[in-house]
Amino acid sequence: MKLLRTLFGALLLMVLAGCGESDMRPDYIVKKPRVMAIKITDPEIRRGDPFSLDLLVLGEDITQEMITEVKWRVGLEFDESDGAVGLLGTTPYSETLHMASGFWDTIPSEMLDTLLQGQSYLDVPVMAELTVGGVTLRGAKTLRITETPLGKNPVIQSIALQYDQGEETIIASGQRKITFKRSAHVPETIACTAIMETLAPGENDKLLFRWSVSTSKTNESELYVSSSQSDIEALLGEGEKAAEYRQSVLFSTRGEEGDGPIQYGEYEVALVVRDKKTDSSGRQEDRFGTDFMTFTIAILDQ
Amino acid sequence: MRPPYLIFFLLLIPLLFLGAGASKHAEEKPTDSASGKSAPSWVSGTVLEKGTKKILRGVTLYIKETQDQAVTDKNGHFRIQVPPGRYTLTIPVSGYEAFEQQVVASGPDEKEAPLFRLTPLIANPYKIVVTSKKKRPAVSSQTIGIEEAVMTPGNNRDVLNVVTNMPGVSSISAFGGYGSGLVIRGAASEESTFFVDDHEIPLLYHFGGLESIIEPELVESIEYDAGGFSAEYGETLAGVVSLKLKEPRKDRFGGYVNVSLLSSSCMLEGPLSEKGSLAVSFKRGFIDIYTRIAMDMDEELKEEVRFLEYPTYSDGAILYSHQFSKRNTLKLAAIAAVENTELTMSQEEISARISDRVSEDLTFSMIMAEWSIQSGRWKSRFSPLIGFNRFDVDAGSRAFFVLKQNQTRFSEKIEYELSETQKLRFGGRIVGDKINLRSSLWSRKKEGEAYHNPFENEINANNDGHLFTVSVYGMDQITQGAWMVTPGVHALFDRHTDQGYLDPRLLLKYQWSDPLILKGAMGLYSSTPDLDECTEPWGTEHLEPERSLHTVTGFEYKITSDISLDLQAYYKKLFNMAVRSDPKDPTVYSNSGEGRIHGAEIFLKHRKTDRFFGWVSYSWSVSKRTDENESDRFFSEDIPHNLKAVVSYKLNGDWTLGGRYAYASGPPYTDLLNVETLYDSDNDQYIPLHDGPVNTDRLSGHHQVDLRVDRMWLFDTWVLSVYLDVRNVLRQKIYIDKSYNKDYTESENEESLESVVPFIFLGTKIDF
Repeated sequence: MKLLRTLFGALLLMVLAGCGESDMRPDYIVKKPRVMAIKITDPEIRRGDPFSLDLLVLGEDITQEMITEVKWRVGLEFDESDGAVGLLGTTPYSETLHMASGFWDTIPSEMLDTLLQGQSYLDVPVMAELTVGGVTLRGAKTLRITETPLGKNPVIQSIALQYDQGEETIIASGQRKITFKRSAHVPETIACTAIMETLAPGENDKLLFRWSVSTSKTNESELYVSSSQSDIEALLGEGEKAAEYRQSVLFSTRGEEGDGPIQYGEYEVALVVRDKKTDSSGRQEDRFGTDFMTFTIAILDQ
Repeated sequence: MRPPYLIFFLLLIPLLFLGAGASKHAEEKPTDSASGKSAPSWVSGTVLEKGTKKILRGVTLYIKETQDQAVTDKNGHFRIQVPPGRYTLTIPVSGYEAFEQQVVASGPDEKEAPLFRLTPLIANPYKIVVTSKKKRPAVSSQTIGIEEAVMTPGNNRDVLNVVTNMPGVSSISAFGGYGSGLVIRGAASEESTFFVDDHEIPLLYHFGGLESIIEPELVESIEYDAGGFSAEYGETLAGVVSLKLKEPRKDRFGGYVNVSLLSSSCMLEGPLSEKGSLAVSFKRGFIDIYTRIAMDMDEELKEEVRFLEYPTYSDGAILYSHQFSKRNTLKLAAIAAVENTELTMSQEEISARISDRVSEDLTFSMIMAEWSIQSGRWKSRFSPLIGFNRFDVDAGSRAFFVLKQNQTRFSEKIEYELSETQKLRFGGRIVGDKINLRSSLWSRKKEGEAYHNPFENEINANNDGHLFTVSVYGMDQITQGAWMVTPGVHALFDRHTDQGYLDPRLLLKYQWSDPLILKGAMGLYSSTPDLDECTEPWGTEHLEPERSLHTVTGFEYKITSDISLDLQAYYKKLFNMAVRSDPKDPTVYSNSGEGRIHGAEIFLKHRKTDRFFGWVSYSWSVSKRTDENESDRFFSEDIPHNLKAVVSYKLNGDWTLGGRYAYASGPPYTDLLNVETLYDSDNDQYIPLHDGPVNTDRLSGHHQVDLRVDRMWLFDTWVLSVYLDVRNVLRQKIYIDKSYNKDYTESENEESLESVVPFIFLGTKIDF
């Protein structure tokens, strides 16, 4: 089969691509505004249940306060001309949008019956559109309507920071902004660990942890993330599974190699946690749980 | 009177003694009891070529002192009768260093005749046996010998790679070379077909392009047809590459061991009996060793990628040939290849659906026979094949592909000589494959698509099925005066799609004058769509065959006995191409795609002589497509200008230098930089929302220089060669595509692997 040659090449390229050098920024460094995550609470609901929508945007010149309006559309593809109408609702955004039970009143019940007929669940796309910093951004997420909702969002309780301050090791958590000043010593690395609610030990392999950081809002600086398992274990302790599954990362304040000048600036850090689907055998076993949290690292040249 | 008598007697006594001595000698000399004469003595021996042990037959040699001469027989033996003594044997042979050696004539009881080894002026360890050299009606055809294929710079002994140096051929892949498929005259690689003897085989290379599975010295020759070929071949829209396996040597046992930076291989071949000969080869790659070293040296890399099983590959082959008579031969070939690897990747590389653990396992094996019979005006070649292949890629429960394929195929080719000027050729092919496929994957990106969302759909397959096609062809080769006219037709029925086609074709050649042949071809060339396009749940069932109309015209001109020129122009119309026709469902295809390709090629070639071979080829082409409801666009692998020059020269008997220069235009691409995107939060990917024209920009072209140096040492019974083959010596950037960051806000040119990694091949070969 000629298909074999294409698959072989793709497999090896996937590996080798990681070995080549790129001049582009790593994907976790975000300069231009991006939608980073969309969260639905809860991701699986019974029909008629309320649900809320939230999203995260990251970028060099972006703060969450800048988001004033998001157009949400909850619905299937539909074509008026052939009479097929899906679940649909559109509303402007104000902080977290709560779709109250009133939303369901706009949808004829028999339509939902038709859509759910013969299936144990219905996956409905939720679309978001917003304009921020003069750029239009779009995102999509799946909302599952089912009589037996199983999936819940993972919950990030807080982000713990660990860093050296002179001779002392500081561990702090729950802070939304942390500031370092040149005069008071800037640590070379800052370890960040996601503290999850209701995650049993050893279960962090069921989640995907994605750390991202904006480029500095005040200058051209960049913070680099080290996912080196050995470096994380050296700081947090050997055998710490957080290193293996990237529940913890290290931010280097001295450039990519860790030996450059201090990268003064103000950075927005985002953590997005998602359910991993690779263990599921089919779409019905997929879980769409998501959570996110942000905090700010400021490194001041004072 | 007494004193004179006394003197007489005194003088006589010594004479008597002398006489007695002479007669004593006469008594010691063996006598022929019948005739009473002395026994004969001979200068005899066997004449071989130094290093290769090749028997030198029909060689005239002589004794310098007596000018007696002899001619070596079919076994290289000679015998000259001479009186006993020491002589100078002289063997003057054209192409060899002058040979003189002191020899002693020996008696008939001498058991072992000595060996005399002549040193060739130009050594050649390659045993080239061209078993047939027929006049082919093909219009755009080239034949490449094994030595040219192996010695072409930049190839690293990869005989298939030499095809990339032919006119009209470009290769755009991460590995360069043949590895990931060839683009022949502006057509996709899937539209060309590769044959080993009479059968198409599904696997050519290890790991998608690293090294060919076929050991070069199992190959006799490679035939390349760029288009306008005869009715013999079907299921091909573009070109045909046909590799002919050789018959193992019959003269003596010999072989080689080759060790290079990439792999090591060995081959042993020789006669098993008067009628049968056997060749066995084996190869094992070293990529696992390099990967291990690279991982040990780079701690960061170790954390990005961890190999649970380092990539390994090996392959082997057995060829057997039996000559029942001059007109009745049987050839058997068994080829097998295995490869596997398993690795884990860092979490950053993993999407929600792909596991961090990826493995690949491949087993390929086939046995084929070829029975050739000639009787009177009839010639027949019957070839069955059975094969067992397994391909297993596992990247998690939502990304895996397991294919088991049992191949059963038959091919029959018959030639009937109606008269001296007319030959009928006809035959057929049956393909009966049993397929078992289990997979959970997504549909793949097709040519011409700026972007394809791999997570848009999820295709789960658990199929057991059969592929069955029957094809027949017939053609009539008519030679009338200066004309050779070959009309033909190829017909095929495919059970899988329930479709068939009938392809009429016409080939013409006209010998305008002794050195000049005019030629042309026209015909339909069809192929069933790719399996993923016409098989549910991947594609749409009952798709019609894809079709192309070829027209080719040109001439061949023999400038000298060694130099020839081939000039051609062609036009191809593609229609009924399978294309995606529903933007919402990538599994829906229709036969609404079209295309047109036109171009011209110049090929100037110096045939292979003892010291030299080389060629220059230039091709210009324009390749465009029109998909459903779309406007014209460039084909994704449209390469307008393609220039190649290859030379190889033996400086003396020991050193060979070779060089290759190539220039190729860059391929077109669709610029997606800063396009609007849709963020897919479930799969953490950004989908570019590009709805505009496709392939409107073009990457820059590249120059490439490859160099090769060979050094050979001849010993009495073996030859040592060392070669250094460097691809892309000038470290030029070779761009194959554009790559983007995650959200399409940055882009850079994607380079071929030979831009990134120095392709330096150093090898040692011992031929014995």
